[in-house]
Amino acid sequence: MLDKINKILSNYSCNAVSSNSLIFEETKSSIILNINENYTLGETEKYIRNQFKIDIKIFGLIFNNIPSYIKLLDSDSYQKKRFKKTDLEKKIEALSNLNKNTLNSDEDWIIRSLDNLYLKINNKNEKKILKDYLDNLKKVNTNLYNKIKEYMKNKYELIDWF
Amino acid sequence: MKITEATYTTPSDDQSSSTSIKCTIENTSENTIEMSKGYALLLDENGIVIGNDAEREEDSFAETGESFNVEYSPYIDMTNHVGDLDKMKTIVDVTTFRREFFKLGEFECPQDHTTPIKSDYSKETGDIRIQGIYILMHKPYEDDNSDERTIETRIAVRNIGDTYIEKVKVKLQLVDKEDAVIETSEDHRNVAPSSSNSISPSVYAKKGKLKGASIKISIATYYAVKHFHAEGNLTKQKN
Repeated sequence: MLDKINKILSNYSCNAVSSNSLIFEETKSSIILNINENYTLGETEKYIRNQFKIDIKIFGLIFNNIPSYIKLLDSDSYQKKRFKKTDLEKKIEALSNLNKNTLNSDEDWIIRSLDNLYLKINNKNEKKILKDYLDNLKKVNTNLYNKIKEYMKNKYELIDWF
Repeated sequence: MKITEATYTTPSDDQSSSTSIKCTIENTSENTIEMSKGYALLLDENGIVIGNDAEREEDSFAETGESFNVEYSPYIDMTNHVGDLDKMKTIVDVTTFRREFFKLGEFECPQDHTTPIKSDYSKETGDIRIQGIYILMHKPYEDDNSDERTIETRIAVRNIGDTYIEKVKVKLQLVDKEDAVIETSEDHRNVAPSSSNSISPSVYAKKGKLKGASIKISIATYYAVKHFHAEGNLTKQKN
């Protein structure tokens, strides 16, 4: 039965793992499986748990850690989107999240991480990603933008990004 | 580590709700981080755990001084059991891992199920010891008329150190006689100190493709670097 479930889930680039699949195989093979692709992964896990009385956990085949609120229908495109992101894009996203919520804003953390990323920029695309982040920051958090500007200009005389 | 977002969705008709807990982690260690493993608990207003997301492994990459994101999403299947949803709290634990990688080399591919390839390859590196590599073709079932064959590689890894190895991953590449990759596969296990584990990835290919084929094998070991912990309150997701 787990094979049957995984055959269906593989259409959405997902895979289910069950810690007690042996019992699963022996006793539950006759129940009809009706997975709705509009279910979120959480709902799919709940459906299988209720239907077959067994716990499963769904993972992504492309991007392992796929959130439970993603619909089965969207899981393939979600994973591909995550997979396509460059290393720099992911790190800039991490910094964006840090300054998005003012309660969690940690300016020193953001500045030292940006400094670190700046030293690794080695092409126009990467420069654009970092500059876009700074341009957006200027709109949403001018104080932090100015703080970064002052810090970077003091440290790197030739910087022309601001 | 900081929680940058902790939200839950409006309960659906069947009283279920999804959550999203995003965290940013800074790699302050001297190691490059290659993997993270996280756990998130959901607690009601009385501190009773009512949901969790466990063993969420991710290829998190961060050099020293860099930061990365992780996201967990415990699912609440019965929100009516929770009480006041706005008083839910989350506890997140994350461990980061460094990786050691090395190639074991390229080995012949068995051509039939009666003749396995047994290499006396041995390696001792860091905490692990490998004593030989055993590659076999599975015997086809009697009623199997296809020419699809399974090639399994068995590598026993001993942990001769005193550090717990979270994950030892063996990766196979089946390459044809022109060095084109036919298929890849991987398998992994954890290996506690003073113990061993057998790691057995398999590849599948048509019998004809296996003529002159070989198998490239590499190993990656993952060691814990640092543990992180954060707590936060959940709020209702804005549409």
